[in-house]
Amino acid sequence: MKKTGIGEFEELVLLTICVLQNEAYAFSIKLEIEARTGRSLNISGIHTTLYRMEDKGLVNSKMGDSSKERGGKRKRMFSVTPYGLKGLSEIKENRNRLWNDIPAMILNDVSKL
Amino acid sequence: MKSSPPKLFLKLLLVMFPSSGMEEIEGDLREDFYHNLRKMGSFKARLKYMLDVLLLVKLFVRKKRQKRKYSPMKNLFSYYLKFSFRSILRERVYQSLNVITLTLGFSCFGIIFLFVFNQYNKDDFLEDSDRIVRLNETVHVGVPSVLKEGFSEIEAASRVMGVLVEVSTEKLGEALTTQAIYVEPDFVNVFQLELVSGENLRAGERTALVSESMAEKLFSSKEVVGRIIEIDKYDEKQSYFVSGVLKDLPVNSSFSNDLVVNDLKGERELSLAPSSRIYHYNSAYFRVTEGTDLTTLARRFPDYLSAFTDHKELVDVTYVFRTLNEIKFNIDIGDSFIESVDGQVVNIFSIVAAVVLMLAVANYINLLTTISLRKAKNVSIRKVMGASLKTLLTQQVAESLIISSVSMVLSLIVIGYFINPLENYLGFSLQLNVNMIWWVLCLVVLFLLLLTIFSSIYPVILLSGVKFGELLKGKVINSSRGKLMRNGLLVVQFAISTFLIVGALTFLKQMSFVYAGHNKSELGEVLIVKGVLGRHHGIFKQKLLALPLVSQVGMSSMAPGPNDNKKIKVMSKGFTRGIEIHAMDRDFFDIMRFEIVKGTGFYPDGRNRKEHVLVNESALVAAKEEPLGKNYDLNLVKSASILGVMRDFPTESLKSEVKPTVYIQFETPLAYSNYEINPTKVAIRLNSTDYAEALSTIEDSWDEVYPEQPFDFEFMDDRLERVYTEEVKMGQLFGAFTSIAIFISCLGIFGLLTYLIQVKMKELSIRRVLGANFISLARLLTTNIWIVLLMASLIAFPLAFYFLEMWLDSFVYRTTLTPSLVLGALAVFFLLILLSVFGQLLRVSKLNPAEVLRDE
Repeated sequence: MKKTGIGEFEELVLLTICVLQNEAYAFSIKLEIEARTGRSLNISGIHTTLYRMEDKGLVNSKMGDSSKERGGKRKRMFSVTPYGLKGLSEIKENRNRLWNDIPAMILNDVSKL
Repeated sequence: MKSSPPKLFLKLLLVMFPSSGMEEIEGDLREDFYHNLRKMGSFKARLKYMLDVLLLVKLFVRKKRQKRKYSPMKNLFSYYLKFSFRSILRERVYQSLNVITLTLGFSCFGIIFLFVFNQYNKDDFLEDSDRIVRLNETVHVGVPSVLKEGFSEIEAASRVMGVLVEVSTEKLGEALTTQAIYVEPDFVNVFQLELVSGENLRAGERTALVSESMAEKLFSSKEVVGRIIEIDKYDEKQSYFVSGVLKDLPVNSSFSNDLVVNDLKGERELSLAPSSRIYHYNSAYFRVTEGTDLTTLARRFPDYLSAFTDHKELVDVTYVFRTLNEIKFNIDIGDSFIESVDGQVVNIFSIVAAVVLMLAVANYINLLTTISLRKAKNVSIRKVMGASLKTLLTQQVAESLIISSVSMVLSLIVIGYFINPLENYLGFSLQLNVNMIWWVLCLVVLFLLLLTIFSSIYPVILLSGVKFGELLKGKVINSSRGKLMRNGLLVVQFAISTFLIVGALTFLKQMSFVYAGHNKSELGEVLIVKGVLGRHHGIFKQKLLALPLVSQVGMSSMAPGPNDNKKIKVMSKGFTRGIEIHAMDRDFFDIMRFEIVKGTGFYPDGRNRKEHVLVNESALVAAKEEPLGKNYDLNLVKSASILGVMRDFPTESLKSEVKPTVYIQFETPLAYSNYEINPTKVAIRLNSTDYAEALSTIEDSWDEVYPEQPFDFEFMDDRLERVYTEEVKMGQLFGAFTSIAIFISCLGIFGLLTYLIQVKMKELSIRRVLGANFISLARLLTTNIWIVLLMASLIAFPLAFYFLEMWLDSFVYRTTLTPSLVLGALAVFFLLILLSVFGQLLRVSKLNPAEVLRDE
C-alpha cells in the first residue's frame, strides 16, 4: 500500500471542497464540515490545513469575490488538484479493498449497529 | 448588529507582515465572527476570534518566509550557522565535553557569585551606611548620650543590646521566642527606621516598637498601637506598651527590627559621676554627620569625658569607631545585634569561583584547539578553494558562540534548579535584586562575546599559519607554537586542580583534628539541661543526686558549645581588657574534664574559699602581670584570688577568639543575687546507657522544681557538634566545587590524550606492528603529561602552602600542613592520568594497526 501523505482531517477537507465545488472557501468549508459531522471547528484550523495542503500541491486556490459581511475582503476559493484527487481515490481504493476482504460475519455485526 | 470583532491584534499582525497579502483570512475571520455572534453571543465570539488570530500567527510568519527568495550566499549569517552546526555535530563527543565543562564552570561561578553578591549587598537599603558606626565593642551605658550632647558631629546615638526574649500577649496562647533589641529612643534615627503607624519610643516609659510582621504574629493585625505586650527577659516578666509599628526590613538586612524595646536604665546606672560604680557596658551605635573623620572624633572623647568623670575605665581607654560594614564582615568584632558573616569565607569562595571559571575556560580553549586541529584537512581544502582568514574566523566564532551560549542557557537552568535547595541548606539568601538582573544579563552577554573571541582567535591563528599544501599531502600539524600554548594551559589547569585538592585534603585534616581535640567519648554520657535555675538550684541538685541513674551533677552559667550563654563583662585594673565572668561549681569542672595548665583547680576539701577563682589561658595573656596567687577586684568578688589557669576551649565557633574569662564559684552567694549571673546549665553525668529511662526521671524532677519552665536538654557531644555545623557545611560546598574542578581537569586530560593519540596514530600502529607492548606505548604517550604535572606541582604547592597557612591561622585550633598532603594530591592525579591513558590505549589497541596504516 502506497503512502498518500493525506491525514484524516485533510481528507475530510478535500472531500468537502469537492462537495462544495465552486463555493469552497475557508468559512464555507467550516460550515459544511460542522453540519455534516457535528463537530465544532476553529476557522484557524481550517486555514492551517488549507495552506498546508496548498504547499503539498493537493489544492489550488484563486481569489474570488467579496461581500459586505466580509468587510470588503475577497475570498480565496479552493479547488482540488488532480494530484489531490489521485490521493483521495487511492485512499478510497485502499479502504474499499479492506472492506471487501472483511468476512461476512463481521460485516453483519457492523450493519446491525 | 453592534458588536464588532476585536481588530487590534490582527491589525498588528498585518502591520508586522504587510507583504503577507492574506486579506482572505481577514475576511473569513470576520464572516466567522458574525456567524458565531448569532450562535453564542458577543463574549464567546470575541474570545473565539482572538484565539483564531493567535493560532494563525504561524501562518503569517510562514507566508512571509515563503515570499523571500532563498539565496544562501546572500545571508552569510545563516550560512555560517548551518556550517557551524554541521561541524559541531561531526565532533559531538568533544563538543559535548565542552558543553559539560562550560556548564559546570558557569554554574559554579553563578552560584558563588550570587552568594558573594548577596553578602556584599547586605543592608544596601540603608542610606549612607558608612555613617552608622559603633564605638568600641562595648561602652559604658551612660557614655552615648553624654557624647551626643557634646559633639555636633554625632547626629544620633543609642546603646543597643540584642537579647533572646519570650513575648506573649493576652491573645497569644503560647509565648513567642524572638530576638529583641533593647535600645534608646534615638535608635530609630541612627538606622533611619520607618514608622508605619504610631510614634517613636517614649523616653523613660516602658514602650516598644514592633515590625509589621511581628504585629501580625502577635495580634494578627497591623493596628496594634496602644496594645500591651509581655516581655520575658531572663525570666523576668514586664509589660510594655506598643507605641508604634515599624516597616518590615528587607530580607538582606543584617539585623532584625521585629521587636525594639526601650532600654530603661536608672539614673544611678547611667551616671558617670565619680561616686557611682561603672559596670554596665553595652554596644552603642552612632550616626555621624557626613564627612566626619572618625579617628579624630574618637580621639577627642577621653578629654571630653574627663570633665564628667574621673573613672580610669572611661578616660584611659582608646576609643575607636567601627563602621557597620567592618562589623558585618568580621566575626571577631560582632555583637549581639548585628549578624556578622565571616569575611574570609566570602573571600575564599570568590577565589574558588574565579578558579573554577578559569579552569573551565582553559579547558574549553584547549579542547577547541584540539578539535580545530582535527579538522585541519577540512579547513585546508576550504582555504585552497579560496576562503579567506576572515571566513575561517567567522566560522570559528559562530561555532564557539553556539557552544558557549548553549552552556550558558544550560547553566542558568542548573542554577535555577539548585538555588532553592542550596538556600535552605546554607541558610543564606541567594537572590538577585530585580534592578540588578539587567546588569547581570549585560555582563553575561559581554562575557560570552569575550570568551567567544578569545577561544576562536587562537585556533584560527594556529591554522592560518600552516602550509596547507603539505597538510593535504598528509603531513600532520605539530606546530611548536600550538604545543606550547596547549601545554601552558594544561599546566595552569593542573596547578589549579592540585591547589584545590591540597585545599580539600587540608580541610579534611583540620576537621578531624578539631574533632579529635574534644574528648567526645567522655562527654557522650553527659547531659546538659538548660533553664533559668534561680535560687532553687540547690533543691534541684539534691533531687537529681537522689536518682539512681545519675552519678554526678554540676551547675554553671555557661557550657562549652554554641553561643547561648549570657555574657557579663567586667573591667578590672589587673587586666588590659574586659574579661567575661562565668560561674560554675566544682562538680561541673569535673564533669567537663576541664584541663588545668597552671596552678590547681578548685579545692575539693576544706581549703576551698569562695574567693577562689580560675581563669583561662586568654585571660593569662590579658593579665598585666603574672596573676597566679594575686588578688583582684572583680566587682562581683571583691578580692578574688586566682587559683589556676584552665586550657582554652572553643565557644561560639571555631574561628572566634576565645575571650578572656574568669570562672568564679557558685558557692559564692554574691554570684547570683545582685548580679545577673544565673545558673543556667546543669551538667549531669549518667552512669548508665539507658538514656530514655534516665531522661524521663530527670524530667520528672525538673517538672517538680520548675513546673513553669519547659524541660530543655541536649547531650554534650551533640552540643559540641553544633559549633562545627557552619564549617562542615562550608567544607561540603568546598568539596563539591573541588570535585567539579577535578572533573574538569580530567576532561582536559582526556581531550589532550585523545588528541595525542590521533596525531600519533600511525606511529603507534607501526610500533605495534613491530611488536611494542602496552607499557612502552603508554610511556610514549604520557611523558609529556608527567612533565606538565611536575611543572604544575612546582607552581601549585608553594602557593597552596602559603594560602592554606593563612586560612588555618584563622582557627584558634589548627592542624599543621604536612608533605603527606602533597603526596596525596599527586597520588590522586597519578591515578587519574593512568586511568585515562589506559582507557584510551585500550580503545586504540582494539583497532587493527594494518587498517590504520592503510588509511589514505
